Amino acid sequence: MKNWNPLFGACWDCTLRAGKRNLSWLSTKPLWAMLAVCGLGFLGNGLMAQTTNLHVITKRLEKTFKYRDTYEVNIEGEKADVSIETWNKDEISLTVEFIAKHPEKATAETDIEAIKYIAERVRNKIYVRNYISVPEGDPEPASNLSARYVVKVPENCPVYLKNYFGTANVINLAKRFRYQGEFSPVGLENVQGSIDLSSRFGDVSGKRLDGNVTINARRSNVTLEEIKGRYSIESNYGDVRILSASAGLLDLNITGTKSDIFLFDPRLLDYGYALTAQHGSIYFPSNLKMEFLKNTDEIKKVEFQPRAEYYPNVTISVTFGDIYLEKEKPDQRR
Amino acid sequence: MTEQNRTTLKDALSRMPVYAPPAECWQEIGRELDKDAREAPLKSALNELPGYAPPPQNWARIADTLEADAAGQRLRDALSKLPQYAPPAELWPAIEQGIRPPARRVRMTVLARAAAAIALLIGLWWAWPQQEAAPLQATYTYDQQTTNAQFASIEDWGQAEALMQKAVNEFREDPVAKQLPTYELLLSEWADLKDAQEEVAKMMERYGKDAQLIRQMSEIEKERSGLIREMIAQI
Repeated sequence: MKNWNPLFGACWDCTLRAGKRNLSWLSTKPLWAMLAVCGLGFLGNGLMAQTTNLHVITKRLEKTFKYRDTYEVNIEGEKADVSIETWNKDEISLTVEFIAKHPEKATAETDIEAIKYIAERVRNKIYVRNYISVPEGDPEPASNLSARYVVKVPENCPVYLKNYFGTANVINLAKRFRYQGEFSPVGLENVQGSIDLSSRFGDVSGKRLDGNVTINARRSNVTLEEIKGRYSIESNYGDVRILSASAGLLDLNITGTKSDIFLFDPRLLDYGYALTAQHGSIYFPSNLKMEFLKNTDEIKKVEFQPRAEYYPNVTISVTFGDIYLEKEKPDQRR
Repeated sequence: MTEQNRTTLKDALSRMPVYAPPAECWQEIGRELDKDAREAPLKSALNELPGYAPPPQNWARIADTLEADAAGQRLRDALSKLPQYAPPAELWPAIEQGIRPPARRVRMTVLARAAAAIALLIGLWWAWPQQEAAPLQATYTYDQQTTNAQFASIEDWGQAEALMQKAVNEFREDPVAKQLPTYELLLSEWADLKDAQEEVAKMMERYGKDAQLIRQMSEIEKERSGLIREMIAQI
């Protein structure tokens, strides 16, 4: 999956390791197998170079809530690009835009009203949600529809965001952020406190995160930079890249299945390691004197303890994947 | 030993009155003896019945009850020994005055209820405040854009579906593939990707096709292709 997050330019290199193999084996396969593989090459040929004029109608709604310390904002977006930022006011501000695009203006005008919107406070929670609702018997919308949220909250306001087929960008939250996304890449910058992210088919990017961070990523790449605090990351069918750690890193636990794990940091010798790779390999610099506890074709297990009294613990376990420890990020080596 | 006054004694005994029991006494005795004879088999049968000991907790409960009774009795005894005091006579008029006007007491209750209701309303108002946000004002803007992409015509991701499914079926049944440590993983991965593809297709139906959805579909399709290559390589 590509990373559409504008905060970072990292891109998932599509875990097509099999695709890198020599395809000479195909010559020994039956005709249907060759067709199955070669037929895939036709994908994308249907894109027509044809110009179309679209009517774009944007419906904009704004709402502001007074903020109290116990409030939490819950956002449930569908096909929505959500931007969450902080400000110094004791208010929660929501700006929502619904967009309909269609060659016929009347169709776009009708379809934009099919997007429904809820923004209300129930006790201590402010709920925001968008969805499509069409009266029974009416035709489904024919336009291309989407939503955009800009949410401004005080930095201590906890936020829970659930997003389906959209994008999310979050900056400067200081207390609690929970995220559950599907097919929605999410980018975080300068977010602190309790951070709980769960993503399926949506890459996770984080820069300057600090606190207790839990990430569950399925078919999503995780890219983190300048991390502090404690991290517990579980990744399935996606790579995890830690581009750099800051002085405040306390613990880093990563579990991966069919995932490659990369840790880039110039101070690799300052950390303690317990690394395990089942059906995979572990790569590390030669000056990192790892002790091999197991070293078979099936499993490799190494440990290292620095001489310092206190040090961050890095525990990584992967199955069907590799572990890479490197001092420099790939772009720094160039 | 020889009785020296034997004659005198015999004479005295012969002069003593003789008593006979009433006839019904003998009848009663006779009935009792008959009853004993009748109940003899019953008693012998009773003796042959098995004996059962009650469970220990019954005794504990009985002991507790007895103790409670004893404690209650002690309490009652202690209460009975307490000195009794009668209030001074001048107190009764004051007490009667305090409880006499029932109408006023009712009025107090109504006031209290009203106060409670007001407090409740205030509480509800606090917990469920009025619309604190400004009412929603929708504004519309109209624009036009030109696009070169005709997304409606791009639906080629299902073209190789039959062949791909055939490859999966071959892989599923292949005895060598079944020995692979990745066998189950690859199949579950295939199912995952199929579900994901259906989800993207549904979103395309609901929200229309756009570049992002097309890209997501393409990425899933690429992954499926990679998976098929991996499966075919193992067959």
